[in-house]
Amino acid sequence: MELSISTLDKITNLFEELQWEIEDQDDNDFSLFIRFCTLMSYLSDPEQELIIELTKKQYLRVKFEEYNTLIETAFKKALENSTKDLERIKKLYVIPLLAPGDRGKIKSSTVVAYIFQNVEFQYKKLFKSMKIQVMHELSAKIINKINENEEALLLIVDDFVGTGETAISCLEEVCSTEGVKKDKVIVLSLVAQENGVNSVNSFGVEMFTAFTRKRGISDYYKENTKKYINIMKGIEEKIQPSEKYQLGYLGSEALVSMIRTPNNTFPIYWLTKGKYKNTVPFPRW
Amino acid sequence: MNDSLLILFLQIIKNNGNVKTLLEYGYDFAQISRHIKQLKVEYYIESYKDHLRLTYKGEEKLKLLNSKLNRSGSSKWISPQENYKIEKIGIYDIYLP
Repeated sequence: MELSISTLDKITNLFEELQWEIEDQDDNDFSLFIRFCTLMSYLSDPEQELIIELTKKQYLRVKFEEYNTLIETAFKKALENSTKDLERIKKLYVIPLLAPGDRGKIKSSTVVAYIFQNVEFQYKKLFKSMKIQVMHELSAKIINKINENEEALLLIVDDFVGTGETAISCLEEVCSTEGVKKDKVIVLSLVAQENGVNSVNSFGVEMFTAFTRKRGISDYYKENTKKYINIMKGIEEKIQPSEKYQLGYLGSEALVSMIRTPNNTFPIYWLTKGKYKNTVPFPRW
Repeated sequence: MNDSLLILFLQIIKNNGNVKTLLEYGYDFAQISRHIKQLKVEYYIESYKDHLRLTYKGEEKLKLLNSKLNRSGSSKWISPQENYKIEKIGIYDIYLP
């Protein structure tokens, strides 16, 4: 267990800069700060430096209380950038972004959809004179209304889109199977990886986010990509994620935590396994 | 912060040592972090090029404390591990560690 006092000081500075809470055992036995420091003490010097660098420069931690604001930010981008004339929309149908097999499960996209039922949204200038209707699923009658009414739009929402795999399977069901026209759909996510946005756009559907994120190492450190990837792989040899989660799900290299940390994020931040079980900063329970 | 603890902190910082000793004393990472902040406020230590180091005031304080606590030789730069010391027992007593 190796953590120099200078490195502990760097971690303190990191937490202060990010405005993350620093709690001791009297406040919280397993506080984020204690977990983070404990985890770092299992890493070598270059590994510690890399995690501090990535966390400091790029880590995005979104708390639940920020969801309202980020929904507005994402929707504002849709209003400003969509090729559709959203000013004409009077009826907004909202459904959660769910893979067909996930219907009925508790998913974060359902939480985001539910937020649209917030009565305050109806009175916000951003939504102007739009009537918002939140649903679990679409009936044939609603699908017909969306397709035939030029003042109607379907919004499919989520808090995080990673590779776009789930988004595409949802869109295939909604558009290809159930028959909603692609130009009557917008996908809205609070945060998304760039690859995920590209996937949805390639499907022929517009997508807007509050934050679009690049891969944490490969897209950010052009000159040191190989070096940093090797260091991260060294870290992952210790924690042993399964192959599909190496460097984050399908190599997403995400640096994000939401209500729950997506598995697209580098697993060192969330994988609860072996001796590291109680030390990860943002576990996926 | 008592003198023994202050010496320990200053020694660890001077040598960029491991915080393990402080954890063994029963402090957690957040408490150690708070002490470091306090030592910065009192200007015994400062950040310099990604490391912590003793200021002139910190060096002088360390010398003073070593003298006060009669530390000599290696004890000036590495504190004895008081937390592992046990009470003296009699010559015929049996010690089971």
